[in-house]
Amino acid sequence: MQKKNRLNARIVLLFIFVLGLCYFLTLSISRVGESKVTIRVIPEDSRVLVNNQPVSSKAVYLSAGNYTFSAEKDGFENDSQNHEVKKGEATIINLLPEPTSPEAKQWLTENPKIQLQREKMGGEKAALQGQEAIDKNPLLGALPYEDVTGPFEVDYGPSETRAGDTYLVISSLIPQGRTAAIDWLKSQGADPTDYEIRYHDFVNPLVTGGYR
Amino acid sequence: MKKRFLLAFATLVVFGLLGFLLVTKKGPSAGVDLVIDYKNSQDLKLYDLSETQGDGSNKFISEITSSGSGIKILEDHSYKITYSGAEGFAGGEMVFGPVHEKTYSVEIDPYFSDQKLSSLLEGKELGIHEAVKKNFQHINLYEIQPGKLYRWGEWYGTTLKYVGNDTFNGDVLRVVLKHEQEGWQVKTEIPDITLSKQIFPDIPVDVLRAVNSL
Repeated sequence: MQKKNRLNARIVLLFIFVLGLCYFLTLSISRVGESKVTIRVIPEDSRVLVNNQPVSSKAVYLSAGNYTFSAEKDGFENDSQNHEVKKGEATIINLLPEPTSPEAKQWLTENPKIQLQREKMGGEKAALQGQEAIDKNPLLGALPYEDVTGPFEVDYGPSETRAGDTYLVISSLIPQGRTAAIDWLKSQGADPTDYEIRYHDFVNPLVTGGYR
Repeated sequence: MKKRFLLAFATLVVFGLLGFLLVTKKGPSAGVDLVIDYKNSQDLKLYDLSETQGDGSNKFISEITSSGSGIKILEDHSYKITYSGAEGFAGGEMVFGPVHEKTYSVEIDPYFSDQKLSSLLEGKELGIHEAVKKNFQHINLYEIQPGKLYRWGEWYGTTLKYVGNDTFNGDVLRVVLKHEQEGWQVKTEIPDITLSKQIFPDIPVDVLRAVNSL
């Protein structure tokens, strides 16, 4: 009888082990080719969405591609961030809905620790977005660039209308300098067609009709 | 005995499920059906850009001899179709892939050749320049340079050479027009030193690139 009980216990243990193994394998297989994205959000009880689909967990596994991560909460302005998930690369996305209602603002004022955490996450978020812009567009890594012989300077800034995109600024007082700046861009492998270029010192005579 | 049978059965079911998951997640690809439709072009050749031959050139796959014909390609590979244009049409190439669809269609419909576009422009250019002059109040500060037609002759691009006295702002500007029902219409509301695809999303990028190179 005792022998039979021991056998039964072994069978149960073996079954649990097989089930555990299967769970682990299923989980691993379901995540093949996917990358872990950790979503950190303040306030923590915000509703988090990935490509407009709500997610319950703050750690999601996604296949490579472009995604929109967003967080929303009553009394706060939605925060949204586009990010390219790369294969095998873990990422942390920081979402920080901005308090808009008096209650939300008061909540933040009364929680200085959370405010401090927000500022830290905001810094990380800006760094990630800056790095993404450079990854997407290697030219930005060479900016700002100044040529005293041109003379010209090329720099960039974040686009106000296209999220995650940038514009280039060419500064030069003379047409020759601006032409030299475009030639420099081309020498860097950039096609001016692909960029919104703002000519900082240029006043278009076709529009103004003459001098500044 | 019965318990052992149950255990073996449960294990089999679980591993069967795992196998199914594995196959559906990373199953062998059955390939992609590529359908190529073309007109006004000839000598179409398909190359696999993901594989090279002994001499380093891209692997030649097949010649495409009839429009609408299908061919099996690999979903993880990139491909190139080269073609020469029929009389009056430009030759070129089309690159695509990897394709993660069961069926993928490409359409080759070449633009007019440079020679044909030049001949189409003959006698028309003064009229196009008149449309430019009508559009800008201060055009007298510029000399409209000879330009070019693009695509099927419906797009025109040229440069404006400054002839005024403002030495700080005498840059060459670029302007694009499109032939519509009402005639030639300026599509670059404010001609600029370079034309950006972000600022002028309604102008085809290939036209903008060509005008930026004038």
